[in-house]
Amino acid sequence: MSGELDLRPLVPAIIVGVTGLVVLLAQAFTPKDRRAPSAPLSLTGLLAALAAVWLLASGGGRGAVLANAVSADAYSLFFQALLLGIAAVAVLLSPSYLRANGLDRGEYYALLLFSVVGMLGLVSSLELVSMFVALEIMSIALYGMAGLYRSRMESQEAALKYFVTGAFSSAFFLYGVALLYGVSGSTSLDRLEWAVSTLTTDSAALALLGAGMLLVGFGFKIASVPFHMWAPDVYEGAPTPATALMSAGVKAAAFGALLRVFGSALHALAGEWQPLVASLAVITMVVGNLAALAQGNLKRMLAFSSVAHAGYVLTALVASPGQAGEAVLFYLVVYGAVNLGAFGTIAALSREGREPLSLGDVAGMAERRPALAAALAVFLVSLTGIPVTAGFVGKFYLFNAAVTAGWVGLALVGVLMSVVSAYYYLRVVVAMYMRDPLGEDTWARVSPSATVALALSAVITLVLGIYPAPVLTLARIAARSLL
Amino acid sequence: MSVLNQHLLSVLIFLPVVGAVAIALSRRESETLQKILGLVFSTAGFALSLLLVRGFQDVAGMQFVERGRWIPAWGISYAVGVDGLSLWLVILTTFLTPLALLGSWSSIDRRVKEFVVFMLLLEAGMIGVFVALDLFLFYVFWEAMLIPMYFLIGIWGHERRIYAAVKFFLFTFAGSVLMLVAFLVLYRTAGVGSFDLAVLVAAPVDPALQVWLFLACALAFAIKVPMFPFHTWLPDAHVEAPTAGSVILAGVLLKMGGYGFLRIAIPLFPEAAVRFAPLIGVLAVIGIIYGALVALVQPDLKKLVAYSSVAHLGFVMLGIAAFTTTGLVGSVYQMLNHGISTGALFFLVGMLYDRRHTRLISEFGGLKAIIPWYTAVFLMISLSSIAMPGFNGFVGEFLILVGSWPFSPTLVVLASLGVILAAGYILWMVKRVFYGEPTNPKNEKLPDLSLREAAVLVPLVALAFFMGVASPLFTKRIEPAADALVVQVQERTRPIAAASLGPVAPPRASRADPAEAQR
Repeated sequence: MSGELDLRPLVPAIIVGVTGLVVLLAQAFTPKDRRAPSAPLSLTGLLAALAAVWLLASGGGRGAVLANAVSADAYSLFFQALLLGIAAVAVLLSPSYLRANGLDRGEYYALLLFSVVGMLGLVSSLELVSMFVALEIMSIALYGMAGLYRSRMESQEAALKYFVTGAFSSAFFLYGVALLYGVSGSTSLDRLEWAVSTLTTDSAALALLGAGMLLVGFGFKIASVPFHMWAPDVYEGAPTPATALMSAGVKAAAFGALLRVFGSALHALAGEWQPLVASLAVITMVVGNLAALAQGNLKRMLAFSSVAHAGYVLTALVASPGQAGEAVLFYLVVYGAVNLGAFGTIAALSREGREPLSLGDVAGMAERRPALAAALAVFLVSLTGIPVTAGFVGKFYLFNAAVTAGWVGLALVGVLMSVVSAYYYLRVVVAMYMRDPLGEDTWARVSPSATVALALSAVITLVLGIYPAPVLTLARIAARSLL
Repeated sequence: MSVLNQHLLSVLIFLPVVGAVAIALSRRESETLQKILGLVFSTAGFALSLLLVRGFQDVAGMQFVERGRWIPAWGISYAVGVDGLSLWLVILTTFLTPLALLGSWSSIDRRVKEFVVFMLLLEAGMIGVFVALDLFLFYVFWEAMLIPMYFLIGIWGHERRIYAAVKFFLFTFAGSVLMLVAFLVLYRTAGVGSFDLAVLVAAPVDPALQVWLFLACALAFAIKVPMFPFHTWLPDAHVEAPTAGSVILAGVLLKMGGYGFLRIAIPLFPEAAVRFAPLIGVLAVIGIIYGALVALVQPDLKKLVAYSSVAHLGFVMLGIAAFTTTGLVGSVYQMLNHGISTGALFFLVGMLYDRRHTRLISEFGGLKAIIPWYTAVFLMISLSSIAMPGFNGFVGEFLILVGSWPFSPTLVVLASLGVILAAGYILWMVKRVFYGEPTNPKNEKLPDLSLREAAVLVPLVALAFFMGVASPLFTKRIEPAADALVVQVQERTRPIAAASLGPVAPPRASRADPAEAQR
């Protein structure tokens, strides 16, 4: 270090943050009768940040900086690229949706970008307090996004609920950090790793309690049962592109941090926390899928499906950190593409404040909008986990990790719950392909930018299902840097 | 030519995919073009598949093998090949697909494009299942093929099509996910870092674990066959599916269950397979009798044919459970026969439905005088289905019964009862539908077979007859592979085999001697 301030690992986050400020300023300086170029600005910023990640990956700048608080190792860079990609697709989905719902304001994009800054920080923090700060940056921006519909009750409810449970979970997280500080005398993950590997029996209880608190905190963010209660309401109430970002991005970022803390820093305690994570995985898969069965509203159904998928991802955490890392990283890529696609389809059809939310709304879609129906069918089939979509490869990888670690029962619950999930995912396919349309097609024409977003998601879903090897290799390299 | 031969299997798998993509890109309105393209691609596939027969050597072991790296990190490769067990099943697939497309030329009148696309994708998936030599690849094809079938039933089926489609999907999906877990456990315990079937077969698994893995795989395959008591999805799926769907479902899809036992479950878990052989044999015979009895009382023609499938596939499973070379050859042969005769029966029932929009036996009677050509074809296929000597069904059932004698004479005797019952339900149905005086005035104007319908049926009838009289042409290709499988399993299970496998156990083997059996 030699006293030199190396900010290179922070460059992507800085670019995104500055773009957020520019978007706000552009909004302020645009005349009232004109539309501010918020979406193009945001997209440019995100792509520039993606380029910065690329440069970091190909050049130096990988060391930990800022007193070992932030790193640009392969693991962070993998996640940063993923999160920036997810955000870019969410931005592509936004303009037409916001216009259709009278929400076309610059704040939305600024909040989106600020939440991305938090996500980027979350996955690259090597220190618990930085991690907490990043978590809060992300969450506070999201509370705002959830409540963007100022006139709708559901949106207000979503924002308040998200805020209250979020604050609650932050408290757990902080308490966990404090307890772990008590064990190791430091908030740095390096020191923590060293401390937990040389525990005395007294401090072991403290460390476990701290780890448990952190798990609760993360549990809220990844929406695992029993910390999932906010998810359906928030996913339903928030603007749909923001929901897509929440389900794909927040989950990825939270899992990125969770894996870093538990897979690497607290790995010495794995024997203690693994049964806990395994039971969380089981109840999350069971409750998420069974609850999704009962949903009539598509956004709520996808929200519970997103809960269920958190459970699938948790199953892999019982494996060795390397293998768990690979499987989780790959899955999050798949999951991001698929969920953006699924929520994106709903968003893309939104018109005059309405969006297709019931099975009746999508009935007969295959005859009216064959391409769109085919894309949504691909996403749903992928969520079910059927070849030749990426969802199958992803689940295969997760369950393989669990089986390799000797947890065959977890994999069994996972596959059986996938069968349950087939029922509610296919219900949508049945409506689109096998039922006759109800009434006129009053949904919006899909805008060009949304078309790009959906096509991109669908192509990624299929390509990763057929030829996953390159991304698997990247995930493997990224996961190795955790060890 | 040699380049084509090296990649022949891949060409067979991916030609329909290329066709499907081409058709998907065509304009929605050009329906005739789509039908023609579908027919051209599937017929080309059939023509190319005949090259397999020409280049096939009558020896055990995989031929036309192709290997490519796919997901090296997990030891997954793209590996395909055929042997005597799979050769004819591939041909059956490429043979039935163009016929099914031709057969539904006029009965499918809406969303033609999607129909042809799904049919071609289905063909690709089915061929893939029969030629995959890597467990991962096998599973991918096995599951991927569910989707087009699901759409075929759900979109173009009859009144209760959605229920039937969802039931079909959930049943088969539930069965196969357990198989996936079994594959993962096998991958871990074998510790060879590969999903290659041959490599895994060579790595023995602890017999106690084998039981669980075998059961998981057997469940997937038993649902697909379907074996009693896992058959309940079949009548629904068959009755509700459009004709082409029923034909492919009965003709090819059900064969995947039996094939899965032969290719996956038995070679990988031989000790467990030998242990469960008696159970499978008993369930098979229950299926034969039960299927026949239920078929006997069906008022609906299509349901009758569907339940007859349960009975016929009982024979296939009996031959597999017996696990003698003769029994296995009979089973594979019977799978082909069932594909042809039941496929043809579904075509015939479908043609009648197209004319009258009912399938109730009571609505018909005395059709012989009105539609003589149709009646003639129906009668011949019926004879093939009830295993009349001179037709293909006889050869298959005979081989199975002879091959199963050493396994269990009791089961063979009971299964033979099933042959008689089959004659009963088929001939009784033929009598009620075709003979006597025309009873229903609505039937008086029924047109006989059109040229297109004849073009669909003639190849099937010809083949049913040809396979009945020239069976060695087919069986000599099956035999080396069946024999090799029997030997391979016996070597692995010698200690256990003495107790339960006929041919290597002296006391049972002597009972197999027909002369002694007579005494």
